[in-house]
Formats: sequence, C-alpha cells, structure tokens
Amino acid sequence: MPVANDERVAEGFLRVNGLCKEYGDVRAVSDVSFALEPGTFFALLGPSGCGKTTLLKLLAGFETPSAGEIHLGGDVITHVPAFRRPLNTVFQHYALFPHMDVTKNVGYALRQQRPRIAKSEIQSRVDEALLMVRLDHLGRRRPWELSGGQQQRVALARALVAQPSVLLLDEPLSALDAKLRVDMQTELKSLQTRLGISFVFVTHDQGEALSMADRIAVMRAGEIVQDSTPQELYDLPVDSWVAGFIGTMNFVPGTVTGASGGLTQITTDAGRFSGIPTTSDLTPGRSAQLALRPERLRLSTPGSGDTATAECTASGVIESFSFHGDQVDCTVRTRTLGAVRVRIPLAGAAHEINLQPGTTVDVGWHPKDARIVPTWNSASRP
Amino acid sequence: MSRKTMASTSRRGRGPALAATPAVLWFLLFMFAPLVVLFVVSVGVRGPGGGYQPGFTLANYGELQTRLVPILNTIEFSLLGTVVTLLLAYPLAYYLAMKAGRKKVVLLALIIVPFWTSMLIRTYAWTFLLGSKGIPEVLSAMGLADDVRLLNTPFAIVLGIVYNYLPLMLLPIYVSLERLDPALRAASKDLGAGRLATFRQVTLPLSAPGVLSGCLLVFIPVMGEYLIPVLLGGGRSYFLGNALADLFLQSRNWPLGAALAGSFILLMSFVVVGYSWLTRRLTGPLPTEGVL
Repeated sequence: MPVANDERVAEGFLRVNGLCKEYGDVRAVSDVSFALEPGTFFALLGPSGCGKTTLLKLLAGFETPSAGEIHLGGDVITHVPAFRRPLNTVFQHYALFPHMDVTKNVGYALRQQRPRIAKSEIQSRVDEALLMVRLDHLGRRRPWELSGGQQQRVALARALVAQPSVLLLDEPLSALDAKLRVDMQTELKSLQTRLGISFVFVTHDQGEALSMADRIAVMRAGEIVQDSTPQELYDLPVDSWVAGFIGTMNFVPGTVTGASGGLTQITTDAGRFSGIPTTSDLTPGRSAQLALRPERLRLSTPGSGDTATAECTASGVIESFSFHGDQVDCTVRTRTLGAVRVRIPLAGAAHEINLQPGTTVDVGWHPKDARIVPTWNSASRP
Repeated sequence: MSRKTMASTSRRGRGPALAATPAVLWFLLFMFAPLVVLFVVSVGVRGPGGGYQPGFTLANYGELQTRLVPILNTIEFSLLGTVVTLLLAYPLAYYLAMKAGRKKVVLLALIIVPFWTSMLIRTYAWTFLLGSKGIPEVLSAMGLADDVRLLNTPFAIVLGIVYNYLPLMLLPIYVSLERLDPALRAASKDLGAGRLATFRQVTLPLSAPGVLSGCLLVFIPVMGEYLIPVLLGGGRSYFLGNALADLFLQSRNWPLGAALAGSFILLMSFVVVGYSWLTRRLTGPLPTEGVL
C-alpha cells in the first residue's frame, strides 16, 4: 500500500484498514475496517472482551497491529509511536499524574512539544482548556483532591489541550455515578460538536452509545458486526445478538419461509407471520427470530377492539408489571409467544386496562413494527 | 452534674492513658532510659583505670574534634556506598518491576535468599575473593593485570557496602515502581513524551519515595557499620563504629565514647527528620491509598 499523500484528505480523517491484533492464538481484533469523517462521534460498543479496548490501544499506538493499516489525514500512522501521534486519549480511570497539580497535568502535552512553547503561551492555553471544562478555579488542586467528575474533566482538558485531530475515550464515564454520567454525556456531546473533531468512544453501555454517538460500531469477538447510526442500529439490528444487546427485545424463534420486496415471512410455533422487514437477505429455510420491541407492542382487553389496527395478536395473562413513572413494563405470559415484555405509556389507553397480575389481555402488534433477524449463536460463527 | 456522670467522665478520661501504658513503658525503658544513661556518662569523667566516674564536664564534647577522621570517613563512605548502591539497585528494580514478567518471582528470590546467611560469613567470603589468592591471581594468570590489590582498599569497603545493603535499597524502589499505574506512563507517551521524557517526568518522580526510603535504609546502618571496614578495609579506613569499639573496649574512655555515640545519634535523627521532610515535599500530603 503506497503512502497516501492525497491533499484532498482532510486533516482529521481517520481510516482503518483490515486491522488485526493477535495475542498468541487469540485474535483480539480481527479484520476491522472503518473510515471516519472529521467531526464524527464514533462509539465502539460491545461487551467486555470484545476487543474494543484493544482497538483503541491500536489507534493510540500502545499496541502494534499484527496486520492492517491506520491512516490519519494523509499519513499512514500504523507504526508511528504513540508519542508522535496527533491523537490523545482519555483513560478509563483518568490516569492523572498524582505528583502534579491540575495546571501541570493539563499543560503536560504542551511542555513536551519541540520547539518549546513559551511558558506564557502554555499558561494561556491551559487556562483556556480549564475554562472549557469549567474548572478554571481549581488549577492549584492535586488530582486526588478532586471529585470523580472533576477528575474526569481534568483528563478531558489534558487530552484536548494539544488540539488532537481525534480524541480517543476509553470508557470514560464508567467510574461516575449514574446522575453525573448523564450530565457528562450531554457535556461530552456538546464539547465534541463545538470542537468539530472526531471522538472515538469505547463503551459497553448501549444507552450511552445510543444517546451520544453519530455512529456506532458494535463489536463481538474482535469483529465489527454492525456499523451504523444509532437509529438504524436500534431499528434494524443485523442479527439476534445485536438485537438483544441493544435495548430490550422479545424473540420468537422460527424459520424463514419466504421473502418478497424486503419483507419476509417467518414460520414459528405461534404461526406464520408475513410482511415483516428484515436487515439482511434471508433465504428461506434459514433459522431466524421474530423480534419485537416492547414499546412497539400494545395491550388491550380481549374483545374491546382496541387492537384493530394491529394485525397480529396473542392473548395472555399479565404475569408481573413494574411502574416507571411515565411508562409501565409488563410481562405477559402468552400461550403462543411465551413470556413477552410490553412497555406502554401511562398516558393514553393503558390506564383503562387493569394492570394487575392475572388480568387476561391481548398483545398486539403491526407486522411493520416487528423485525426478522437471523439467529446468532456462538456456534454459528464462520 | 451527678456523681454517676462524673465517675464515668473520669474513667473515660483515664481510659486512653491506661491503654497507652505498655507503649509508653516500652518507649521509656528501651528508648529514653538508655539515652539518659548515655548523656549522663558523656558528661562524666574517665576513671583512673578507665571506665566512668560521675562528674559534670562538657570537655568530652570538646574532645570530639580529635575523632574527626573516623567521623568524616564514615560520612564519606556512607554517602558513596549509598549512591553506588542506588545506581545499581534502580535499574535492577526497574527491570524487575516493568520487564521481568514471570521471571520476577525467581529473580526476587535469588536476590533475597542469600541474605538469610549470616552477614559475617558472607563478608568474610569476600576476603578470599578479593585477597591475593582470589581475583587478583585470576587476573594475573589471564595476563590482564599484575599486582592488583583489592582487599584492604576503599574499593573493597564500597563493594562490601553495596553487596550487603543492595536488597534494602532494591525492595523499596521495586515496590514503588510496581505500584506505579502503567496507565500513567501510557498517558505520558500519549501526551507526546518519549521514553526518556516519560521516565524523567513520571516514573522517576513517582518512585522518589521508594528511592528515599531505600537511601535511608542503607545510609543509616552503614553509618554504624563495624564489620565491613574491619574485614574488607583492613582497619585502614576507620569507621565510627570502630572508633566507638576502641574507645569503650581498648582505651576504656567511656565518657568520650558516650559523647561520640550521643552526637552520632543526634546526627542520625537529623537525617531521619530530613528524610520525612523531603518525602512530604516530594509527594505532597499523601492520598490515603490507591492514587500513587
């Protein structure tokens, strides 16, 4: 592969090509490719051990890939050492230098640059970075004198002060408590929008990824299994594993029995359902799952006619329910579909149903709201 | 206030004092009393046949200047020995903590196990290695150098110090490097510092408490060293320990010996105070745990 010296390539354009990392017999990262336009909030999402952190380390330069290339702007940076890469990292536990105060921590990257930057300029850029994360009053503090959220912001300021073209974040919010995490999500997102650089954000929290990212790459066993927008990921998961990993999903196992015009027919124990959208080309005979989001399901009293718009119904008995303020989660035991989780808004028709365990109800849905996803199990890996 | 509360108050007041008694007693008996004895002897006079006669004079302290050579010798060798030990121990500790991987346990054992043998025997063994039938003969047989003298030289003393005190320097440095979060060095590199710059700005300052403890653990006992100058230095380089032994056992000038020992203890306490001051300065008010 020749070194690309293409002038048209934007400065923060990150492209990864066939990246692999092997530890002995274990493939931690397997043939990963993606390209990021500058200013993309890109989430690497997956369970622990899926290779997302290893991929981040490859990008940062802490690990050398076994194969593949990393391009940044017009340069190949695959074998450029970490300290020469114009990428900076926010570490999972922040990794703030305990022997330096906040100002010294934030100015660290600037002090490393050669030719040297004037002290006064370092000071003003540090002040600017601290102002950006709203910590301008805490410059003299030592890291351990700060709260978790403040440490998090120091780590952010320290990683951003040298104006990297891409910021890498390794589960930066995992050590914060729930409320602070939500605040920081908003703050991170707006910061990224303001700076206009790409954030590569590693997380195992699908809610975090969905709420912040422009694009999500779902990783499993070292591979990217789906790389799409949050909406698409939620709406059209590529297989049953992704569908179950993102949000909550009800599955009914079956076999594909026909397809036409992007709509598929599936035969399950509960019967045959047709006209259902799917993500991938599914040949008849393939093992698949009928996937139903809890919020796409409706509940109605049998015979009330409320499910008229829903083409498919299954009757059952409410087994349990939990109250969440604006909505209610019910588990309905149906004869044909098994246990089904239903999420209904409290406003509207729902309150007319007696939501007590033991009540007989109809669960209804429209075929357009269901999905058919290929069944994934660890044995079905190629 | 009722009598009952008064009684309970006084009992509560006495409680901690009573609980502290064993520690206080221990301190009085084994720390304070000997120091008082030492001071009393140091202001006394030498008896006609040696030993101690009660009296009060500061003359013994004035006479200390006649023992300047062993004092300076001791300080010089202790400093030199500590620095050489540090220069050898730091790279070794760094290797053990950062690079050795699974070999670590074996290597640490190899370093520590020999020190279960008596120091006397190990130091004595060096007299054979350094003596004329040892390394010098090997060197001349190989035609590399003739007439090399190793035993009874300053070199032999420093070698003895380094050999005997290396683990005391190595272990605290090793611990401080081992506890260093690898993410800190990764962060340094990520922020644009190369290997050397990372070592200088992150690894070294964060292992400084270990370096200081190691230096103290070596410097203090070497200051009181008796065996090494006798066995490897041939008594040519006189240490304070040797001077004290002579004063008490040969010339039996107990008051002067006590004055010398007392000043020596005072000097040591200054070193210890300096150590804790420096440690606090280097690390700031230490976080309780986990951060360093």
